[in-house]
Amino acid sequence: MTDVPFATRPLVGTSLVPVSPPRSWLRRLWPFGAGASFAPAGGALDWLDGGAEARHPVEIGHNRLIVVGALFGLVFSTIAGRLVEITLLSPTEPHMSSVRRALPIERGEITDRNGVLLATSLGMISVYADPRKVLDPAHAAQQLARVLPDINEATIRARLSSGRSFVYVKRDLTPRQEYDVNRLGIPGVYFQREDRRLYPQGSIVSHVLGFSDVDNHGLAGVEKFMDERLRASESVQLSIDLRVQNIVRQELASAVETFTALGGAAVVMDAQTGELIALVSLPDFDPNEPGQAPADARFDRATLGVYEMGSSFKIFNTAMALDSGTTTLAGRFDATHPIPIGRFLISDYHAEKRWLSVPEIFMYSSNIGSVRMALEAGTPTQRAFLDRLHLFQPVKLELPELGKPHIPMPWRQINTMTIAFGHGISVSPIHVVAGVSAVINGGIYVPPTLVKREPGEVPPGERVLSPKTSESMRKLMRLVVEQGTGKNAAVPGYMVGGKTGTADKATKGGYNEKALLSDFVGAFPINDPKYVVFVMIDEPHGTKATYHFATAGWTAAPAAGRIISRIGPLLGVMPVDEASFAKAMAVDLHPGSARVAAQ
Amino acid sequence: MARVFLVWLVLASCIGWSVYQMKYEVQRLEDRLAKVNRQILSDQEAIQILKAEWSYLNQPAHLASLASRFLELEPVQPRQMVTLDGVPMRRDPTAAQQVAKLVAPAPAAPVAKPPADLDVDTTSAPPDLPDDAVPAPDMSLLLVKGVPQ
Repeated sequence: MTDVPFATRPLVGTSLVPVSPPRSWLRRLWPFGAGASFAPAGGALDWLDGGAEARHPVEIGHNRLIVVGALFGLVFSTIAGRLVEITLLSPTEPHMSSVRRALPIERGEITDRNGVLLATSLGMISVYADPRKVLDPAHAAQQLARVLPDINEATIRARLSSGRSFVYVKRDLTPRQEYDVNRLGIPGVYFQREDRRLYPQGSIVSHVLGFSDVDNHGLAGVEKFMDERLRASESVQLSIDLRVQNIVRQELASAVETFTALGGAAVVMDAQTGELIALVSLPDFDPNEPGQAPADARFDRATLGVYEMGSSFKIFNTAMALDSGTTTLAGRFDATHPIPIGRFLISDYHAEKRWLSVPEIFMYSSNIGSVRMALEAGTPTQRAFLDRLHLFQPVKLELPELGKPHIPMPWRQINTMTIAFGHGISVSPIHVVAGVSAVINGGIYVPPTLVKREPGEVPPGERVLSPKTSESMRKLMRLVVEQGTGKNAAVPGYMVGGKTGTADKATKGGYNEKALLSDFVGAFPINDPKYVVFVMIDEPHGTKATYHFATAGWTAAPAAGRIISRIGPLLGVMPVDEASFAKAMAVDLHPGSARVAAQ
Repeated sequence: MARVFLVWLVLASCIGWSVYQMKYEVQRLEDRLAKVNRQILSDQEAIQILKAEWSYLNQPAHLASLASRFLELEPVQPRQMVTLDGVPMRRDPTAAQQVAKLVAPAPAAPVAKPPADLDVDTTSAPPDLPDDAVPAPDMSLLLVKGVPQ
């Protein structure tokens, strides 16, 4: 075979050469002669042109050409056919894997109800290293520390000396730093684009938003609750109004500072739709730097904290008594003497020491009268009513931080008595707001929400008390602001109604009379409630201006009043002439007597 | 024979030439597409940054401090809100009195005035107008008609 001239070999590759001789019908075309043995075995060269003497060489050449031509024709027509198929019959988009049309943002935005950006992700450059490729870790660390002043040279040196294949040098570089590091040209040091979560509004909405970690996982707040949605790059529009949130936070902060309190919480909720317009807990933190905030600042007092609310619970107690029919607005109870119970004595803060009507009990915030009302209604009624107001379960809200109420187990008569004035049961501020909203909005419990509802969208609610009870409660709450403990919450034109509550904070083995929790829950305009406002101050201390009172009427109520006077115009609530509603909202304080209803 | 060959030759070179042109045209368009896509990406990124910055610059506290420095405007007070029906017609002879009544300071609230030391934030808490601040009806107060949004 070696001595065969190359040119005389068959044009077809050896693989095409059949081992057995061609069949008879092929023989005419067969270029290699008939009956040839193709196996190189035997050493004969007759496979090449075996039997050539039987044919004319020209014919053989001709046949060979035809075969080769046919093969080429086949190949080319296949290519042509495929070309036609791809380009004309089933054309597809060119596949361009390198082209990215959408911005590769890993996490959706969060905006307030007016579209103001609250949380967004920005592409940042991080610098990392492959220590196995870094030639001189000590030198590299020294150089990096020079252009990146906020990293520790020793730490970086240790990282670069480790045998791992990936270590971060620094995340979120400025463009300038990126340029500088790039200029160093250290082998084994690379850049990587990463998304960084940014909260442009700082700490104003901190507890609602929560925060996420460097790897874009939500760790708290809406960021955690809606993590899946946000990670699918969907944006979320909250029900929060940033302007209202800011005002509420300012006023609460000013109250907390004035009364040197530990903290506070404030909530503004739409009484009809359940949308939370503002949700503030102080102290708060900057979600851009959540790691630097102490644990107390990250604790959400408005939703996670549960507190004994004190007298504001008399809203629920009175509504319960009125709705169950055990008493009416004309009912009267004996509040002459304190009620001894165990080693405690239930007495009145503003003691009148006489029989009081139901409106008077509410207005003077009489503990004795409230206890007697609750006892008349009975434990099962009280329990069922509070359960209907969803005070026994964590509120359903779009946040992971939701406090579970502390309710008495078992529910004895003493519990019924203390719960009448808001002790012995701990709920979160959001429970109170949602419950009070149901009491005053006509009796429909609407679950609170942090997600904006479409205008006109009526949320599914459930009736928890009668419209008549609701109307009575509105009148009573108006009475408290007109003549009772809530006078400091009044705002001319906005028909504020509400109830103050001051609770001694529970400590080990009893109550601490020095540590108070002052809260005010109100609504405006109370004749047709649009918004419920709640302000709570944790351990306020009286000042000279409040005659050293730290009770809710002096601390939480004025803050609520200032909040209402500032957010009312912003929320488009039209002020009314209060005098024209005085008659409609009047309550007979001394039913049965000849005296006319107090105005 | 030669003519047929010539026709085919011309045809083949025409097709060859146009395929060549087409290929480069496609190449050029693809380059442009990639460039435009890159531009879109960088613009989107810039928009993202600008949006964040816009939100940052619109922090309510920042706006309040700017407004107190550069504007003579104050937050709307509840008593400044008047419906269009409440504004008297100009021809009405008693218009002046009605307007004076509208802009007159609200009657003293039955509220204990909040302690002075509560007003820490003077930029946000608008000062009360002094009682004698309205000798003549100030029409500008009436510009707030209806509901500000």
